Amino acid sequence: MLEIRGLTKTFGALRASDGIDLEVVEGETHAVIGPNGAGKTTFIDQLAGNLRPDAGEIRFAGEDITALPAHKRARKGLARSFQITSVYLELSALDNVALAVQARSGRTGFWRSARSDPSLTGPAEQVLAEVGLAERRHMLASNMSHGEHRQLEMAMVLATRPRLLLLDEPMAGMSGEESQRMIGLLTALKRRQTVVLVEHDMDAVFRLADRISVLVYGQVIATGSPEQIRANEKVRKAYLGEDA
Amino acid sequence: MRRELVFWAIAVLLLVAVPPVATTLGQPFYIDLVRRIMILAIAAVSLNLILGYGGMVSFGHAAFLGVGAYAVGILAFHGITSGWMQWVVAVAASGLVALAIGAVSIRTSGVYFIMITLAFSQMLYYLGTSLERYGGDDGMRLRTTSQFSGLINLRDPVAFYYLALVLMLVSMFLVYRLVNSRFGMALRAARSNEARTRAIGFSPYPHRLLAFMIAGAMCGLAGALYANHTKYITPSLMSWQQSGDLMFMVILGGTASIAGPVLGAFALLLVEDLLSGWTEHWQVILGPLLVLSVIFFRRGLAGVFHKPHA
Repeated sequence: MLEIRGLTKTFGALRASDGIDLEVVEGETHAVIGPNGAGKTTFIDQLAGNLRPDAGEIRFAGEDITALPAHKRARKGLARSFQITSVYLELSALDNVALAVQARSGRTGFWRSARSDPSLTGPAEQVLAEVGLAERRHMLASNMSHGEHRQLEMAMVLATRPRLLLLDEPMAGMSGEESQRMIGLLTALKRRQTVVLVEHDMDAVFRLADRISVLVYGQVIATGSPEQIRANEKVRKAYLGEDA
Repeated sequence: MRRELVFWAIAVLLLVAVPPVATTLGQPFYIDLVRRIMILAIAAVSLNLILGYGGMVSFGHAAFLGVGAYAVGILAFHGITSGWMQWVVAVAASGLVALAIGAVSIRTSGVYFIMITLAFSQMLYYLGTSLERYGGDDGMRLRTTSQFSGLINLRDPVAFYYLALVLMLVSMFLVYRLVNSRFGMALRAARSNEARTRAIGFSPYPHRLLAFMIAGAMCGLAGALYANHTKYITPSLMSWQQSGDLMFMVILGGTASIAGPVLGAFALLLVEDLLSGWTEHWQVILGPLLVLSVIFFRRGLAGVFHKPHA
């Protein structure tokens, strides 16, 4: 579904992506892990179209999308979440998600109220319920907690009905209880969604991922099942050894 | 909701009552003053569409006021006095100029956007001063007001007053519909969080450009009205001070609210009128007042009347 070949991005002397090859198969949850500064967010940014790679190729569903801007990739079904919560703070939860539904619909209008359009609010309410924010739908996003922001962001991502989810540390900064809820949501999604998951929470990664790629200094040093990664000598040395 | 409705009803009734009350009191000057305020309020409402809802801090919005006014003036100069024709040209010309300015400016953001819109409006200002045929620096007199096939006579101050009131309310309603439509929601989204907006599949640029053009066209209408109001068109209508005044009306009244820019226009111009009648150094007093109002009314005057829904 997603093929990445020789992806390279440098910032000055820093090679944040150093010839990354990676393939995401339809239906899998593919986790990307690595120590701080390994280039995980740079990697996701290039997949989503927020950063243009210096070299390499990204193919999505067989099509070369390397030069496509972010909004066009989103239209093709690539949806991302941001590491730092990224929602519309001055709008209600429902407005936030309805905007994502509207973006997917591709239709615009200049006169009829979008806020009372059931073809937008209907699907939006449904997705809000799915992530557990049904009761919060009329709350301004600025009045929500951090954990709720992450849920809301997930709702926006899902409302675009993506073919591929790019999740940049969805559990970052969450309390234990909130993390558990997010893991529950991702477990439910896993069955019907292809996911690229960048995450620090190893517990979550090993519970959710079908395959794991380990990124160190902008290079993929190993790709495999959670068991293979656990057993991998290079990974232990480069990564798990450091933390554990 | 109920409170808001009462507020609107009272405000409209007050404005409707101005001409008869002013006439009764023998103070027709106030008809003139409030009419001028309402015309500039239309310009402020249009600026709010891009500044408040679109997040585009344009420091050159008076340019469109000038394009609208000059469209009327130049056509009248050449003997075309039909208001229908003049006003359509005013709106179309300012919309097109806005499209051109916007197409370049919107590629920038932040301080650069402020500077580039200022630069464009200064260019138009100097273009105005160099039009010797149309009065150059001194401007030109509008000998005949716009003629509307006898439907309304703009020489009648009261009729003109009510026309300005209706057009102000219409422009507010237009912006209200626009900002709550799909287009408007996407525009607001782009202001609120650009990266997120791209990530869900919107391209901010076309939304912003279209909003910029609509705001320019609406401001051009205000310019056409203003030309008929003063019956005199000068380049100073496009000066950066005028752009600053419009910007101030929006910020003082409350950005991203429908009534805000109108409240701001009334507050600024009434206080200005009051102070200038009192002392010739009125700007010394107005300046600090404006600073204080921005500090104490963080959400503008509209925020005093209208609490955000939680």
